[in-house]
Amino acid sequence: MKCQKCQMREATSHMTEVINGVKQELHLCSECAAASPEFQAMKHGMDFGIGDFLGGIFGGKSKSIAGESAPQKMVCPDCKMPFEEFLQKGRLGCGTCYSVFRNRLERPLKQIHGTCEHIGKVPSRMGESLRVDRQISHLEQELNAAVMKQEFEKAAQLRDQILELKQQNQEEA
Amino acid sequence: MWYQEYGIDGDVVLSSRVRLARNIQGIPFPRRTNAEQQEKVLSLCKDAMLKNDNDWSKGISYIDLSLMEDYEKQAIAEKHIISPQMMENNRKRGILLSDDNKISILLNEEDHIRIQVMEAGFALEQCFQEANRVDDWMEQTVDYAFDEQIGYLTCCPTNAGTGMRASVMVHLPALTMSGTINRVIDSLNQLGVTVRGIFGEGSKATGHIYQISNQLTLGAAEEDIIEKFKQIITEVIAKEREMRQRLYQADKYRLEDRLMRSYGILRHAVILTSGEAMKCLSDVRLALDLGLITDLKPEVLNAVTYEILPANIMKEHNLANPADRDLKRAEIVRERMSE
Repeated sequence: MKCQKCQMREATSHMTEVINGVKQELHLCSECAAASPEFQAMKHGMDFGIGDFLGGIFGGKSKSIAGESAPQKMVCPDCKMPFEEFLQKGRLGCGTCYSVFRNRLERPLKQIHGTCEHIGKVPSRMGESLRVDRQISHLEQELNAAVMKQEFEKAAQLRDQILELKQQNQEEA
Repeated sequence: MWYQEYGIDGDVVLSSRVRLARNIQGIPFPRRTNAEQQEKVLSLCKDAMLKNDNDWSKGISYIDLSLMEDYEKQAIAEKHIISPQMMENNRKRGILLSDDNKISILLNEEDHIRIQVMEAGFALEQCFQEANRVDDWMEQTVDYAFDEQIGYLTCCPTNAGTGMRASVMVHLPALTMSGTINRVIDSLNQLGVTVRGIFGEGSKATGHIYQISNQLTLGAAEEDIIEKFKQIITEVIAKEREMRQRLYQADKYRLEDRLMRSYGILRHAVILTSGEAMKCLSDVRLALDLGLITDLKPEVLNAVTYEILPANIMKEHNLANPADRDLKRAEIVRERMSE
């Protein structure tokens, strides 16, 4: 069946309406259907934007995390956005939301990007202390490993190194 | 203007763009701000870019979107500088725009700051370097919302990390005509790359023009994202070129006839809708590339592609009635084609 409007493409969207006892049939191709008010009305209230889908990823299968009674009720202290709103719209309210909702964001961010560790550009004014911080956390991991392996001499060295870096960071701040 | 130029690999890639999304620390993202906070974002960014003396900020001016008519904003959207969403008047928005329109900084769109750099042809690295430079400059006085682990924080979590989106505008008539475009789109999607119509989300590929962009913004350095994206686009360019030759060889005269008829329409038509004009321009672009037309410069095609869009005609010629615009459009095209 050809589309009633353009008479060219194959009709793929069909609708039967009864208005005041008169039956009306519509057979349109997907392009004409997208423009027709009848089909617009049918789609009313449905959102096909990224928000709904993100809400699904971030909210779906939300097992409760220890120490968090009702995640849906969490609210960002800075911008006052409830987590529930994020689930509906897929948009965060401010930078603080990332810290407040971190537990809820990490896994889905991994699902979207494959990771949630930024390794790109760092603002240069924050850069120096951040680089030191990254070095410290790297050394701390080594320290833990050394302790596990009972390599206490190495652990002591690492501990001193870490202390030195931390002091350096504090002096700069 | 940059979009009139014919750049590297200009037979397929019309333009390249890199966009960096940034937000200011201590101010909620635009959709949760009040008028005062919105004003603060505008003034912080204006000061950062305009008050300090440097070589390139001299050519940058501020445009207040709230003072503009809808058709004027539409005209800017047709040049791909702002998204259709940016036209809504629900908050104070502005653009810092360079004279050549290559650099545009959108303020209070979805994020506080979106730095965009566009270039003609396939020039992603150039775009990135320039965007990076603008970003460095902005950052000297503006404190960004940045998290050590996640990176640059954005309103939509799909942009977080580098906040970087690279995209190219490509003309793919052969892949479209041969019906292979959907397979290409599927494959690109699997590689973390999206393909959309000429005017972004939800738009159609009018005139066989598509916008391709990277999706992943987190977990890789900017340079690596650009490099991977570049390799993918290089492959798309090669496939399109190969398919053009194959289509031409498969039925030389029929293809020639169809393309040259479109050339005839553009040279002689009296009334042209933008849809028909875009379709014919696509054919002429292909004919030019196949060497069927030799007396036309590709730069002319690039310029006319933007000149004939509805809001731009309305802005340049003050024509509100679509029928008048169709007449004017045909006139513009006829003149351009006989240059």
